[in-house]
Amino acid sequence: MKPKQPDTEFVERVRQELDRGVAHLDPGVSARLSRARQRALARERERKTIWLKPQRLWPAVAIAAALVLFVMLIDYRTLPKSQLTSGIEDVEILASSDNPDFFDELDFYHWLAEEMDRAG
Amino acid sequence: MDSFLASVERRAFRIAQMAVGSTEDALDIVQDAMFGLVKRYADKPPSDWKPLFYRILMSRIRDWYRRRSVRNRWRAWLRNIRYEDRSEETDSIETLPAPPGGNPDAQVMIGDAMAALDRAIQALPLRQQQAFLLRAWEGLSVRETAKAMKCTSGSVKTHYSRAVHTLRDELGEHWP
Repeated sequence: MKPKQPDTEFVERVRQELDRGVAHLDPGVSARLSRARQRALARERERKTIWLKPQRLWPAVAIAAALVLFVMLIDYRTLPKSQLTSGIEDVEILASSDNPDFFDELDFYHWLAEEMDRAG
Repeated sequence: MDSFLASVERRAFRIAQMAVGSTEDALDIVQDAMFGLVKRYADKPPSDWKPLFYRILMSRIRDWYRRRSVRNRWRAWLRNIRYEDRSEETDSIETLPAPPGGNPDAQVMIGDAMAALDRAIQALPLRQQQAFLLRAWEGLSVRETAKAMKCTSGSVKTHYSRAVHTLRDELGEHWP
């Protein structure tokens, strides 16, 4: 009976045979493996740059705008009424064609009008 | 990453081919494994790529077996065939033998010794086959192989040892 080879020697021989098989791999298969590798790497490159494309940024911009609008609305609803009125008055003053100095002296004009009414 | 994948793609293909017995399916499996590695682990240190790549590859091979198992059950159900012992049809990958036959064209091309080895490896249960190829061919450590196969180091040693002994017995006649 033939003595058994040590495992390491046997495994080494198996490894050599397997390597030989890979070295003689069908060229068509090798080419397809190479293409698969390139596709995998290209997909990753595309995935990494895809967020930098303008068309991909639109959803992010839309979400950001919606968030800003939402915060503004919340802010508007929670402001005291007096501040809201004051804000509206400010807009009226800015939109007015009158001289801004007139609004600075508005209290004086109110007092003057009352005095004139009283005087008769 | 390119050079790493280029260095392992042929062996990975052969491992997948021996596991599933189909060139087309093996190519799909390797491609999936490449996509998986690049997508999830490209930022990891290059020293981690090999065990991670084989972990994904082994996972894809297991998925292939599960799909085949489900497909076979549906076929059996559709044909209304009653198997005598359905327990042997379970999805236990542990005991699943690899599909017989392999790729005849490749076997002719690479010679008798290689063909005999191919047949012997394909006849091993999947877990033994994986443990043997990852340890003996890819040179992964026991720990790395266990990680790739999602099992314990002890299981790897057992599978590997059984595989070596089975292969020695099978190839004794062909390898004088």
